[in-house]
Amino acid sequence: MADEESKQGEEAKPNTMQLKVVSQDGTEVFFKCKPDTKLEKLMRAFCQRQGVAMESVRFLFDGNRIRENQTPNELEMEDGDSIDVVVAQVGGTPTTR
Amino acid sequence: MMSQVYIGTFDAGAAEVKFDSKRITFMLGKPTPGSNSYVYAHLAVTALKRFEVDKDRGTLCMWGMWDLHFADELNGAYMPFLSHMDAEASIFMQFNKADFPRSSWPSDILKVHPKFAQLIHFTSGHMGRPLAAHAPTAAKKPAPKPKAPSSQGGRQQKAAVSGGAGSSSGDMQQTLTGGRYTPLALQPSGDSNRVVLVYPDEQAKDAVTLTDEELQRLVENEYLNDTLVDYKLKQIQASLSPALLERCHFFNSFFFKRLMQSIGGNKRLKDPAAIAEGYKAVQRWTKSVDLFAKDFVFVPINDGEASVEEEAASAQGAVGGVTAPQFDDDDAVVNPPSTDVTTTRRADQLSPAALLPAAARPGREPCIMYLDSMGGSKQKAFHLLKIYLDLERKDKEAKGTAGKPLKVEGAGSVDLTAEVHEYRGEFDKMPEYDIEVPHQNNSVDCGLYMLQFVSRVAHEQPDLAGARKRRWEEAECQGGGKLGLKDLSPHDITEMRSDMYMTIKALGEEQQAKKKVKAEGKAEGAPSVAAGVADGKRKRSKKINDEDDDEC
Repeated sequence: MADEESKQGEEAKPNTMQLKVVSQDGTEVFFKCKPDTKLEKLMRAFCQRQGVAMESVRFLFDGNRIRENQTPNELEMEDGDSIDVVVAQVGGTPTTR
Repeated sequence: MMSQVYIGTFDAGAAEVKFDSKRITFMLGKPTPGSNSYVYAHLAVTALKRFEVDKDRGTLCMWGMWDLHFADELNGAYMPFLSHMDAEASIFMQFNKADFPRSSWPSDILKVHPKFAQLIHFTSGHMGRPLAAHAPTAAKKPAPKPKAPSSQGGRQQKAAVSGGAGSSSGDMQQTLTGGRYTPLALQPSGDSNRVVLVYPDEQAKDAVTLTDEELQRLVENEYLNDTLVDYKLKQIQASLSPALLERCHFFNSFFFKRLMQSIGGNKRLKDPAAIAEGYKAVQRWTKSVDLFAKDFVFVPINDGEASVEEEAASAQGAVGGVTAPQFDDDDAVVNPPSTDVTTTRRADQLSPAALLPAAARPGREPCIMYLDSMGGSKQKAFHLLKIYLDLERKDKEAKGTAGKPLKVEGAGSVDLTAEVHEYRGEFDKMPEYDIEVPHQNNSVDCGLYMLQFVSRVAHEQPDLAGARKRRWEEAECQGGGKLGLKDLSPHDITEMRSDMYMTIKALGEEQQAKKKVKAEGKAEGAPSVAAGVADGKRKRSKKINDEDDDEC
């Protein structure tokens, strides 16, 4: 768990961690949050900022999907970890969609 | 609403009923004219309410919530009740004696699922009472008829079914053979974001959240999305015995694309630095798994432009987005198909003798297989996955977590810093197989084919060593015999859609019910928890402001 916070993320106060959200195009957005804050907040903030709909993207941590009501703690995230954002995929042919 | 329908006895097997452990499938025995789809209605065993059999007459009647989503073409004059989704209906059928020797059919059914045994009622003379009224009624047999709204249920009247269209068995027969089908309009279901199921459960770390949107995608002619694919992959895993599961690793639907994108797309596939950099994006995906200890690694590939606004990663015009499976002993790849180009690969191209050094295979020999129901381009997959394995191996070795090396004949060595243009690594010479698999006949089913391939291979787990290996390959090369792929038909695909649909729905309902119970329990039992939650919420909202300082 990330809370044995001796992490010294620069401005990281105890109990605050920095998470990086990386989009497919390589854009990185940093968020500070508390280990017990639901990730929904981060996800919404990210989507808002990027102007994308929540339903159109998925957030992955180490390849695993993140659900909105999970917290960094539950997922054993650590300061500085990154979260991937990927666009929802649909399987079909290019011509039809 | 409840209705009864007399199915009738048809000459040429125009309708048939299939029982399996999960559901009862009622279907017309012939594909819908003009399409390859069969027409079905399903009744999940879990939703079965009552089951009556009249052995002498060869009739049976089943009540429950029939799931009709897939009965696209099943409405029309002869079965208006099908337009009522979610209707509780009984279906009354009389078997063709020739098809169902009386002596065995009821007991055969009983064997399928214990629930049948619990629910079965042997009757004589009549069936077809509405569930509500268990009083015997006097309906008799061959009267065709659909029927009646609840209260009167019992008898089969000649009345028309709710939708109008009264039908006598004669009519039905006519319709069946005449092929007048009108597609059923799907009922729009309001909020497509409504959560239907969190699979496997809310506590799971990598849970998949299924919403109404996913359910809608299971209807025929809709594309699956990543969520459905990931859900099904998990479900396949759950269906494997621990021993089989242990030998496999399943990447999710994002893995390949993520790897591809982080490398920077096709053009950089030959640039070792880009590759090494790209690998980092997925490096931690396997932090808790040793791929090299697995016999099969499945990689779904959805490659191409299908998905909305993908970046230019793939772009080979022809490659469509999909998922084709591929896998191998020690690494599998699942990869979706792409185009509807139907490329058939000849068996001789795949002949193992040509690809595998004849000597030497005391142990397992890794190989890579590509299964693509659309006959897409496999080179990129082969190339990229080999590189991935190589980097993964090095990474794991550096961490001291790799298993014993796999020996690939003629493997080169990799120098990431060298300015090579061709990436050569441990797995470079790994044999590649482009498995000849059944091809889809439309553009929408690739995800399902991929999942079928994965499921069948994962359950079959062909032994690739020695003689069996050869045999398997030969069989496989000629159409997937050993893997059971050869007999994969459009019918299986349709069935898989409905199967997924029903399973998701059933699991979802179960989950909701549990949740309710829990919530109720909590309501009385745990004020302190509630307080804690509220507290947390307050804190959270305070933080909103400072939480998202982005810096780019």
